[in-house]
Amino acid sequence: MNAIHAGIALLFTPLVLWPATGSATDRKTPTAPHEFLTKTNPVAATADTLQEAKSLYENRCSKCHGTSGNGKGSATKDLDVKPRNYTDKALMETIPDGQLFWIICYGSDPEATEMAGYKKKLSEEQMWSLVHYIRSFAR
Amino acid sequence: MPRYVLLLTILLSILTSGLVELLAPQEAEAIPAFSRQTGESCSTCHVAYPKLNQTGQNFRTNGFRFPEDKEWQDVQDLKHVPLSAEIEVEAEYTKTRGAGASGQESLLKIDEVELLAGAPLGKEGRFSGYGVLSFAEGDVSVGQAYGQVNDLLGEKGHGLLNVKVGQFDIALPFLSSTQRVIKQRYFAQEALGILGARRQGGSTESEAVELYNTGVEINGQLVAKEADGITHRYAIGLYQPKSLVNGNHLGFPGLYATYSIHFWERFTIGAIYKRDVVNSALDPFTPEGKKGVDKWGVAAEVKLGPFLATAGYFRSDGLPSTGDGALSNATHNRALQNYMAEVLFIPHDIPFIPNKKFVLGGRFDHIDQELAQSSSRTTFMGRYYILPSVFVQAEWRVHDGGSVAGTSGQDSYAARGFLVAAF
Repeated sequence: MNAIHAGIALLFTPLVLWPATGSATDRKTPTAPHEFLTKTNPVAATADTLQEAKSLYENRCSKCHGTSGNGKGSATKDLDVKPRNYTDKALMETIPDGQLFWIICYGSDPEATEMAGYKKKLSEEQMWSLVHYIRSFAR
Repeated sequence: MPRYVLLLTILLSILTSGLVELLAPQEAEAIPAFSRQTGESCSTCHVAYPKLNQTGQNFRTNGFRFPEDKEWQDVQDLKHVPLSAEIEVEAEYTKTRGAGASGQESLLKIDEVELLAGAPLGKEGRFSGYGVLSFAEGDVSVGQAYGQVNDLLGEKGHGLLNVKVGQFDIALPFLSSTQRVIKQRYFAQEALGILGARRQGGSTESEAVELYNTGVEINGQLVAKEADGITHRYAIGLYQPKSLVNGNHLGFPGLYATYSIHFWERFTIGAIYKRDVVNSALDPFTPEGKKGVDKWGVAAEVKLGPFLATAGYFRSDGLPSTGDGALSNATHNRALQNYMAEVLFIPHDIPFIPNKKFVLGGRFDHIDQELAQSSSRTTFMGRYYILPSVFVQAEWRVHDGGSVAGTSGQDSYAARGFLVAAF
């Protein structure tokens, strides 16, 4: 095989192998353990709570989840699995508070998403307040 | 204080904080400066370090800011100091083959130690700075070092129009010497002087010094709001090539322009034009032997699942002889043409691969010159991440030599191994 053929073969290898690699978009968000799913938000949704949550969201979440919560932040350009769209009211009504809290705590699927857990960086009160703020996008 | 002592002091400080982070329980995020500043993992901006994905290219053109950031965080502790260090250890074995083979050569050494710093400054990030200090071969040298004034036009934080001054890569935003995952230099870089820093000297790959252009550039980007929209990136600038002696300087500086578009989430196409400066004794019309040479190229990139494929064509309309070899009696300039294809396999998102801590790659690079034997290099690469910012990498390169524009004329095999650690 001469050099030109080698280069062409190299370029076409992905076209041939790509369909066999599967798609990360087929994955589903991990489901929280039962003890989390049954939890209700213990933090009251006061103006101060929401203001602090807003600040946390803008600082830590908006790059991916977007300033309006639509999952279209500037850091999502190359993500095959896009962040959750919090403005989808019908979808958000199917997700319990405990599931949102658990994902914020421990992160989502590390092999398919960039969503890391914040258990070591935020207090439980802060994470529950974020759940209130996230839900406000769908109202 | 001697320079090396100062450098060592700074390096030890960064290493100390970096080691504390490395030894702490690791999650997905890595260590270096931008990751610390933004709170994002390396893979947010890098396809495979140091190659930038679309988010990373946006971030860089934006003066190291995300549009959502309200203001740059004040420096609060070592985690937010915009300083990183990188250490690279290399082992290289080269064996010549074919007619004229002279044997083999090998080495093992700390290839380089670099300090990197970059950040937007001020509450609104209107000015950004970036610099690299490199310690290699017993010398301290400055790599890329530039400042950028952001948002001359448009909304704050979006980088629609910026001006950059300093010493930096002149290359395509998605294809450049400083973004090489496969460490083997491109022919477009080495022989044509396009795609970024020139190589100068050295009998082995690791000994060659990277030389950056000094210039002033107006650049910007128009980023699509929707994921499948079109993102435009553009730059035009003037530059003075580094390391040329006074006799080589043009009366006016060199000129370049780049343009690229990214669309449908997968495809990127780009073009570059560069009017370079070379020393020519053959052109009777240019005083003092100086000559401007037109260089240009087009490249395309496509992302298909875990595969990232890049192809490029680059051309120099003549690279006159400096008097060496068969070119010394030539009476006309001879064009150079370069064809390059590269594929990276980055299994981030493949469900059935359990351990995704590796990257594989292959590159085919071919260069032609009129009245000269063409030259080809085929390189294969494998990388394994020990930690998010520490990896080992092996490369195997086959060089079919022809003496084109300063590249080696001898056929050879080369095996290279690297240990790279960033803090």
